[in-house]
Amino acid sequence: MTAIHAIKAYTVDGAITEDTDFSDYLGAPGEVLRLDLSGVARINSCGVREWLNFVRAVEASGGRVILERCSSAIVGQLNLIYNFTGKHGEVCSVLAPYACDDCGHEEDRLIELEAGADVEALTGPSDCPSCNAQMEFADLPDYYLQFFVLG
Amino acid sequence: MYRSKVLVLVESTPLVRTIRRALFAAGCETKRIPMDVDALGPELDEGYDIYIVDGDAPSERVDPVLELLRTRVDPARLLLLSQHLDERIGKQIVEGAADNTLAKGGSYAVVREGLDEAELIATCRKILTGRIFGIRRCLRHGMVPIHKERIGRAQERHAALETLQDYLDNLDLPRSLRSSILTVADELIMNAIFNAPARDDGTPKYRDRPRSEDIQLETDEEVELRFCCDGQYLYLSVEDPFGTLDRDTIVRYIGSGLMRRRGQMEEKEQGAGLGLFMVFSSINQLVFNVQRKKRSEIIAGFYVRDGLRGFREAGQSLNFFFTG
Repeated sequence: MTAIHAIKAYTVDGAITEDTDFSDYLGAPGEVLRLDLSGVARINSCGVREWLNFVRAVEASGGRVILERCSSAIVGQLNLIYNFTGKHGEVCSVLAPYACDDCGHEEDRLIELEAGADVEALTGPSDCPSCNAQMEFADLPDYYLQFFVLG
Repeated sequence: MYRSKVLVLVESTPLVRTIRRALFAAGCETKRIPMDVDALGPELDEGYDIYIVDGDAPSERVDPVLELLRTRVDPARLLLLSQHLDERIGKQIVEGAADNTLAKGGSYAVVREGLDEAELIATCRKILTGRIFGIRRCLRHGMVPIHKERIGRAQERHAALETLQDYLDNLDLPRSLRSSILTVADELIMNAIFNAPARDDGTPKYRDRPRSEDIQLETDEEVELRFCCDGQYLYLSVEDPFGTLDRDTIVRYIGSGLMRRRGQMEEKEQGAGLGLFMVFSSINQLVFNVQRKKRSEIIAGFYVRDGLRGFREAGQSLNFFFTG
């Protein structure tokens, strides 16, 4: 028999710091939490600690986290902290910084992460919505998606 | 720096030329020898003020040279050059062989391999004179103002960070770079407030207090955030009046970054460790200036001229300076 876990979705935004309280997100045992992290502007070391305690608490209750639309601040931590998603968590998608050299327009584009996907293809150029020139991925693909490449 | 003697063990002729030109202009005498222990031995008897070694040379040549230097030369006088501060260079820092590494990426990573002459001269000057404090020593020219924010209470750091954010917005830096710079400033301020203050007997004063507590610092414990930009680099520094940082602690905190390992946070982990590890992972230059038991200044430099890619490609420099 396959266990069916409840899935709840939340949005986390602002700065994750020592003042962030994740207890509101903790629900019934075994819940899967889908977290939209697109609005996380930055995260400091105290915030990382709060986050990891939260992920551990979710997993201790038999649940796990699924991270969606991770902001570049979260991507930075995924690259830096080995156990940022816990043992059973996963990252579905990230926001990638794009910039247009012609008009200076900057925006984040959604990248869906599918196993085995080619990093260069994921971060290819796209049209600038402001001037129709070509926007380039503003970071180094292998650096930005290091956590995905290394697994 | 006038008449100081510098021994150069660098194989790339263009790089040697850059070093010679910059240090000659600064008043130093340089001598280049092959990357070879037989050539180095007699020179060590001669004695030099600074030894500059290309850490990226093939390991069969550079490793014996570094091994010999480690036994004979004060690590404060050894300047290691590297395109990227990789695991091999990190090991030299962790094991105490060198206190200073300069990125060969410097300001030119996007264009070509090359040192940033201003950084080279500033570093050599600090090694030779012992005058180590001040963010202005990093600047390429003295024409830009240095902004200062005094912080006397833990919660005052938010206002200081907002001022810095306004400054970064006006510099029109890429958003994720702004976010990294703010996080670095936050970590350094938190470190100065919670980890640096010590009682007369050396025991930490606030280290075990919750980071959400609005600690009121004594007047003589106050922390200063400074920041400026010379168009090429943005620098920020945080200074505390304690000087409690030591080399072993710093290396322990940033060791994972130096050895290019991703950090794994343990449940019990507390204090400055993760914060400095995060700082080291987000900068192009990191300078620790410490006058023991008097004051500490940590300077973080960010290459801002060529967007995010330029920032990533500019390499990393790391410097430890201790006096007193």
